Amino acid sequence: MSIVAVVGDCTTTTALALAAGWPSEHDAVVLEADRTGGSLAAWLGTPASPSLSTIVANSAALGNSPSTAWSCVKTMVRDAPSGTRFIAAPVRSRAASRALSEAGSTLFPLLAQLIEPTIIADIGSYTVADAPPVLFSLASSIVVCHRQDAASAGAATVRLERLAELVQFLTAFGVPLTVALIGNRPFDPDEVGRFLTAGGPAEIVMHPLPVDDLTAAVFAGRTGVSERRLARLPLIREASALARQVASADAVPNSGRIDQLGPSR
Amino acid sequence: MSDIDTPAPHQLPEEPRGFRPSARRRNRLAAGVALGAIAIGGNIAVYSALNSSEPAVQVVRDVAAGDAITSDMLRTVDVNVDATVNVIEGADLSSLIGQYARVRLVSGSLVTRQALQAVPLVSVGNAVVAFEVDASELPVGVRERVPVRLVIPADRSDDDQTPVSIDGRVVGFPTASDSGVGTMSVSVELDNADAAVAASADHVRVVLLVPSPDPAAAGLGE
Repeated sequence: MSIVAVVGDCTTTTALALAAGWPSEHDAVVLEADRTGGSLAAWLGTPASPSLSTIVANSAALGNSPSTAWSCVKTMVRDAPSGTRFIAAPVRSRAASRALSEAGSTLFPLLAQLIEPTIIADIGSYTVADAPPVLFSLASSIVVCHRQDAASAGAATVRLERLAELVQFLTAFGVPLTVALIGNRPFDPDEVGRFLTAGGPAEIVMHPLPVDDLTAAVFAGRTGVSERRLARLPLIREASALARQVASADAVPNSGRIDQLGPSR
Repeated sequence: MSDIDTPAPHQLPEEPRGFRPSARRRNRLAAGVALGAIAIGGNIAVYSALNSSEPAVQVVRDVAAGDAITSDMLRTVDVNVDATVNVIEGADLSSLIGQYARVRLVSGSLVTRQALQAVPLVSVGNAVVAFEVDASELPVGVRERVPVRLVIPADRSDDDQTPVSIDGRVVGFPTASDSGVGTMSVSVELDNADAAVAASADHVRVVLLVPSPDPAAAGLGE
């Protein structure tokens, strides 16, 4: 596995939770690939630079092999005090969009060939009306995050309609697809799963995640919660299970898209 | 074919990587607690200082000038006044019993040492004579214990008679007389030998003299 694309609602929190719960014998790096701008550097208390812009500005040093590219990139991977390793996107949306466009043709294809580390790409929200990010086609697994609108069944239903549209679109990429359903109201995850697969031959894994504002706040930089207490919070526990499920999925690098770049390391 | 796969909730996990939240900023917490403690201590000190009241002697009923002080006339009250305010400490109340009021002491007021004296206003060899004068004939500045000279004008029909002058000291503050409008009652301490002359005079004029030390106030710091 090389790239896990995380798309939808609350993706930054979910990506951090996945990285936190990732099996310890494997390495995982969070890649912030949100066109609307990056937040991770601020959340995790590190300087804004180097960022994805720094890496793409040195694209000449990436070379053509994944190992060469990674040896260059890993010097710019940030190590947060929390233990999370990440590549931050530029804070402003215009700079982030430019960096992602550039990285889509230079950096990401190389990262997709890596066996280690796994890149957990936080894509952010996406609608099928937009041009799809290149990371969809490079990912070996996709996690769709959807937070249920608990205000009313009607409000939740219209969002589920758009989720179904997105799921149908993503199944076309032919990689394992996991739907992380945040919150169990107003609809049960199994009920939502049946709805999502009713329209076609979609093969998805439903994984419920709890609404856990405290854990989300800790990921966003809140202090005052100990590591032991955090480990007992529901989102951490469920995200660990999700991470294990995604990590253990029988996924290989999407070689069909990277043949021209050479074999995997 | 559609397939929904929900993972078993308790799969045997590998050890997760974990997330180490930011440590509590213990130094800031300690500094905050210390500042709070200092602020509380400062407030306590300030308000304790503001409440540094001390007992002082107060008059509980009106005392006329010349009256001997008894224990039922005074009491101690806690007052918070500047150190320069002239009061008698409450611990000295017992020493005031038996002294004499030099001036009228108004109920509720604080007592000063200058308002009391150890001897009666009328001492041996002296007498106090009260007489009425027109308010317009009373010099400005007449008050308790000031020296005055009483002048009894000569009878105009008797060319041989001369005015009589008697020196004395005002005992009490002149008050409005009950016998007529516009007249003031003045009590003057004078020599016993002159008392009869002053008391029998039909008309007395009061002359204010230069203030001089009051013999009755000897030892009171004046």
